[in-house]
Amino acid sequence: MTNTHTDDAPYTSRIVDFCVDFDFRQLPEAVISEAKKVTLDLVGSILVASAPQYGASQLIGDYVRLIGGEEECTVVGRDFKTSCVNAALANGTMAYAADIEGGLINPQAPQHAGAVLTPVALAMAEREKSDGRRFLAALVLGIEVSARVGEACRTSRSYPHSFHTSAVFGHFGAAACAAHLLGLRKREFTNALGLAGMNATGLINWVTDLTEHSRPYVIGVASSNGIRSALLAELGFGGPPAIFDATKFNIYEAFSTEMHLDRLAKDLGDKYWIMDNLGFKPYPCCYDIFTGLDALLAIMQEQGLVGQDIKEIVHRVKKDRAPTIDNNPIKSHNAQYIMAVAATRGSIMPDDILEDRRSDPLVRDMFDRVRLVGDLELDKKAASRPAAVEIRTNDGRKFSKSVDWPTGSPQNPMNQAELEAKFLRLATTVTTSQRAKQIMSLIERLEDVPDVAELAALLCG
Amino acid sequence: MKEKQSDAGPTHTEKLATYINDLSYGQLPEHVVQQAKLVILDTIGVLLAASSPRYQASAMIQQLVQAFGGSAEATVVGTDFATSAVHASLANGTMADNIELDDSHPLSGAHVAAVVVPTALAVAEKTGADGKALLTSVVLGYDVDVRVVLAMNPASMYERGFHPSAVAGAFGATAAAGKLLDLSKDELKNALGLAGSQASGLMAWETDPTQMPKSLQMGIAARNGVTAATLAGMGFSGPPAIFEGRYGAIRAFSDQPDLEALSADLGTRFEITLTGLKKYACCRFLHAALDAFLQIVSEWDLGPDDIEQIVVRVPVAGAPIIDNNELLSHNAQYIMPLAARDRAIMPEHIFEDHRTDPEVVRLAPRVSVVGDEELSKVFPGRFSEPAVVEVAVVGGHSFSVRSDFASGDPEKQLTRKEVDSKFERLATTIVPAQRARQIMEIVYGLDQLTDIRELTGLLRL
Repeated sequence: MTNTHTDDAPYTSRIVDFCVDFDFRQLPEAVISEAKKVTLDLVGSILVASAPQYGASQLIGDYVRLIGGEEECTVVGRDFKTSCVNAALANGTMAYAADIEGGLINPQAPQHAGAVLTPVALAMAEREKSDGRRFLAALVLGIEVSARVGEACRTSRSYPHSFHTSAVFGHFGAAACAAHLLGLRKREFTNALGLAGMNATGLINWVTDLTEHSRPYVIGVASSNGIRSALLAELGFGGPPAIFDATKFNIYEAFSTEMHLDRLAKDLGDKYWIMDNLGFKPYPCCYDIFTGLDALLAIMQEQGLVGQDIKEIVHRVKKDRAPTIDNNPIKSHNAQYIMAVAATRGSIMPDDILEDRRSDPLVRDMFDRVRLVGDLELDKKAASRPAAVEIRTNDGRKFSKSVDWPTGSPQNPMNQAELEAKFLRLATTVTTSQRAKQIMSLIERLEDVPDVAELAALLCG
Repeated sequence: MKEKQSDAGPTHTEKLATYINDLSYGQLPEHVVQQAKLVILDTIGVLLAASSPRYQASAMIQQLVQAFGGSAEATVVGTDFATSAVHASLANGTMADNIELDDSHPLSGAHVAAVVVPTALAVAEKTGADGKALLTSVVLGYDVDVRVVLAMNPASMYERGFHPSAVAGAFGATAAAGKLLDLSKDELKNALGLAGSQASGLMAWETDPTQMPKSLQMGIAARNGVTAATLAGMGFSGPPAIFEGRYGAIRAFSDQPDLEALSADLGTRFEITLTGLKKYACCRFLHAALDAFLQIVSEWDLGPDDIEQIVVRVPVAGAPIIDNNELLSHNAQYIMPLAARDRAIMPEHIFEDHRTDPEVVRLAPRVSVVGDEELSKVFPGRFSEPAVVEVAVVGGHSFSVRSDFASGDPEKQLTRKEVDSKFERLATTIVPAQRARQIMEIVYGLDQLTDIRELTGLLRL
């Protein structure tokens, strides 16, 4: 039986060595702080999506209860426990169900990494009775691995071969995250990552599913598959020894059209992807609409406008970004719909995505008065998704505002107070304000928590 | 983002869903039913033998699903426990491919039985289906699985690094599970969509000498099918036309898609009748030679001591693969002496090292492999190869037999007698001969069986 030789698998070996040596104690304070932000934001996002009106959440919870499993891990918002793979499938699905969670938002290689990995860390830490430090380190490591694989596969096209990059690359991060919490050594860690690659998956075809059940499902699948890969490796199951290298059958040709091995281990250990690349979402919709919302809401606030004052909204975005959000049948990706709801109601909440507010004549009417324009002028900007919004009022006034970097982006971050306010807003839709504050304070001191099961216990329904 | 429906009639997804929904046992021609029984019997024999804990991958996958726990719906073959159909199919699918004796479908190269039969058995046991339903679901599994491989084009899949049997297996498993769960046409479309959302399988296992991940992929395909069908039955939605459109699954895994192949000859060409059951647990390149050799030794009743020399002539390209190969399964010098002694090549010949057995010690140096230009011209490019075997007997006689096809080729299907004898040999490594005969009787009487649990109960120890 040949083992991994560094010579045969130089890139895989580098990544695995880094993973095996990964330790909470090496993490800078700032990294730990970002990891806690991800945890807080994801717990809030999962909580809000555990409400009965989220079809995907309800069904996936019912499904894991039906198939049953060892009572070891919490399903958020539910009154039963199940196996780690089941819990991660359910919690991972819920994590992306409301589309409000934070993740890697770096314009180069965005990923819903928080949604894939937080459920993995939560399930495995609960199962292994890990302390908060191991939990946080596992989360940071998972994000690191997902981001680096994503970078190495990055192309100019968003979804090469129709794969949903967050799910596909999430498999590797999820395996690394789980493997860290299992304390796997080199050979097993290599196999865990190899096995994750063997069945990495996730098609972007969910854009055609208007129920939006399959959209978050691919994320839950990644969470669960990553755990299964690590557990099999722990048992001694074999795996391909060079999953990140340019072997005959490699991940780059399968999931991408380019291969950038140099990006895989660049600045490994010096630069953490969780730093400077996190985005948190103030709005439960597609990131492309954020700058438009920022501009719209700022104008309304500055001028004291309400919906009935507005005659017309012109929303300009980069020309190549427009098709994605131009009256998309998926409401969260429909600029005209999102802007109309925000203009009419003064905010945009997860429930506005679930329910079609166009049943309200005011929203319906506003919807027809929002115009989306793909503007070549904006293409000149360095910012990835700038917007310019013009408003004409019924009494003939005109206002306009440009926003380059949206609220919540690394360039225009939400501060701790804003993140906490967001968390409370989301969490209190399903739990008491007292419980929500308890959760918040526990996450705030997570590195001192001796058993993450304490956090999990607060998330039961 | 907007999906254009082709204006002309139903999508291929729709056609497949309709076919799955409409096909009834009564529509199956007699020879299709007969072949389905053979395939099921053959797979059960393989499964039983493969369930032995001496096969590491089997032992580990049993251990894993036992640790997951779950509702006791379906038998994990060769163990004393049952678990959810989802995880039973994961374990059984992995085992079914683990000893290299499962079938392959020559035109597509797909290994279908290892995915579809464990899926169908698990779901049928869960629902208490009758034998006719089991037979119909297995036929459907083949029809969908093979058509997806052909639509994706296996050569193009290999080019990208994908394993056709694993990727397409998820769809075949979904068809079988969906039929047994009695899904409606719309639910079947959702189920196929969910299967596509998580279909997977890299070829990277080729670089792993344990070969465990290859078998695991079959289990995962089976699991994905059960999961997709179960979720769809609960009301979970998926992309409604998974195979078509800009982000279609066929294009994701292939650069040379042929969507028409998805629904070609539905209801008239039953793929299960075109599959080849495997007679010997060794490299395909040795099968025609073994046919010829066994014909000589049984016709003249030769034992290993009667033989002076064996010459194996195969096409030039095939010779180096079987001539003193390091892998026992690919080594003519190792395989021929064992065949002379035991008149069969079974997993124990490969998984146990018999190189020091006296028959092998004496005969191995007397086996020569010759690349024959004439044989190269017979079927250029075919997977299995013609062979001529010449045997010189102690005392001067010599015999020569040419075999153009290998057992299991469509031109040379295994006879019922051959299937029965393979089954008995494999099954009795795990269960008593009487139980093996009982299983055989039940499978041949599947069309009369009212509850499949009568069969699956016999697969539990």
